[in-house]
Amino acid sequence: MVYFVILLFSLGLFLEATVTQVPFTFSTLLILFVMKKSPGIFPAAFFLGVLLDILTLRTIGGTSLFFVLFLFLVYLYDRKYEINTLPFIAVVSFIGAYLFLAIFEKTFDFHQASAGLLFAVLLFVLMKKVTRATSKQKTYA
Amino acid sequence: MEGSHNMRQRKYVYNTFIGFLLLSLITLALFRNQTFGFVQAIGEQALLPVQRTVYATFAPFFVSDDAHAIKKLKEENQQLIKQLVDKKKIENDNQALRDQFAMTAVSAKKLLPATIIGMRSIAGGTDQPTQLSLDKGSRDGLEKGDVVVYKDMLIGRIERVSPHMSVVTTVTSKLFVIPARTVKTGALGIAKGQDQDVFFDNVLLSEKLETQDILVTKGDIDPSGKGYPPGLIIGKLIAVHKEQSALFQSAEVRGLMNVKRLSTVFILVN
Repeated sequence: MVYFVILLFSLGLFLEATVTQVPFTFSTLLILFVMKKSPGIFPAAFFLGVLLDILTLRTIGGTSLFFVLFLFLVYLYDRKYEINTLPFIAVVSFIGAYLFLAIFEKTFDFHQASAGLLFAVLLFVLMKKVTRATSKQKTYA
Repeated sequence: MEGSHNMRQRKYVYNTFIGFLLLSLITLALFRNQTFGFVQAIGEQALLPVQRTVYATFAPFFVSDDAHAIKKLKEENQQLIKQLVDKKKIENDNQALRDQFAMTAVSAKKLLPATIIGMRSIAGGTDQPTQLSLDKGSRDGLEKGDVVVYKDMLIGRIERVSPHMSVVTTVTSKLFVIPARTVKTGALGIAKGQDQDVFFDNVLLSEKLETQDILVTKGDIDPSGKGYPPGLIIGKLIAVHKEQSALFQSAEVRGLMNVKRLSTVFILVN
């Protein structure tokens, strides 16, 4: 699982820096945070933001700030709503991707935000299945 | 018991958040005025080979494979259009000289070749790129606003520069706006990127727009020599929108070059 997440982050990071503007890193961070609800995601968000800023020549720290703030906002919603659900992921990933593109790419693009949403939803479903399979294996063991 | 655990967990999350929020703010403040630009330069140098490898690995999947004949025809077509633009330019120059108009001297420019190490687009390569990453930066003399070309075609302008890299906004980007004119009819207007194509807008109704006409840069160079030289090809007019009730007419412009196929571009540096 850990290797899969590292691979996912590395691939997303470099693809985002070279061939696409779809915010893969943001979506991956969001899914992990929603599923794990672990404060350990904050350091990951910070360092991935720094790497993304270096690769895309943005002012270092801006992306980290966005990631950390957004994840914390999601955490605040955890007290009122069930955040580990597909509708929540769909809405939040779309809003987040749209904001991210507006702030850092200076483009208000519905299509790119939708691509971010699609990626987040697919990843969420995949991660859910993987987690369920792993927990089943643990139970049998 | 569980309540106290939740409370502790929440406190832990809050503390981590505050810690990394402060760290992000401090990082942002430090790097905003380029005091720690060398850290960015080191990071770039370390990541540049990886970025180049990732681009080289994934780029072939994103570039559609046109038939060789089509490619050849497109190149021939580009050559012909270039000749047409040159011919028209000479005609215009002659006319201008005859009319005793002094031509504005453009300061000497140098072409600096740069390798493309990233090509970002909306759908990840299935469409025209809106951003290019180049392996040349401020250490090679690049500055924000430098013009990027390939042959006589305008590719874009440098948007962000770091010591070893630069990011180019291409003509198809929505952030790209430039004064332009048509070669045949001489209509003046504003060329705006539309993600896939370029939109030639703000053209007076009294001007004449024709499909198949070539759109070039009007020329917009400041006294320091920075800006767009005149006559760089932006694209070809494929559709004209004219309504008598509207203030302006406009046209859709298609680029003459598949930017996705490029591996090297040239930067006009002073």
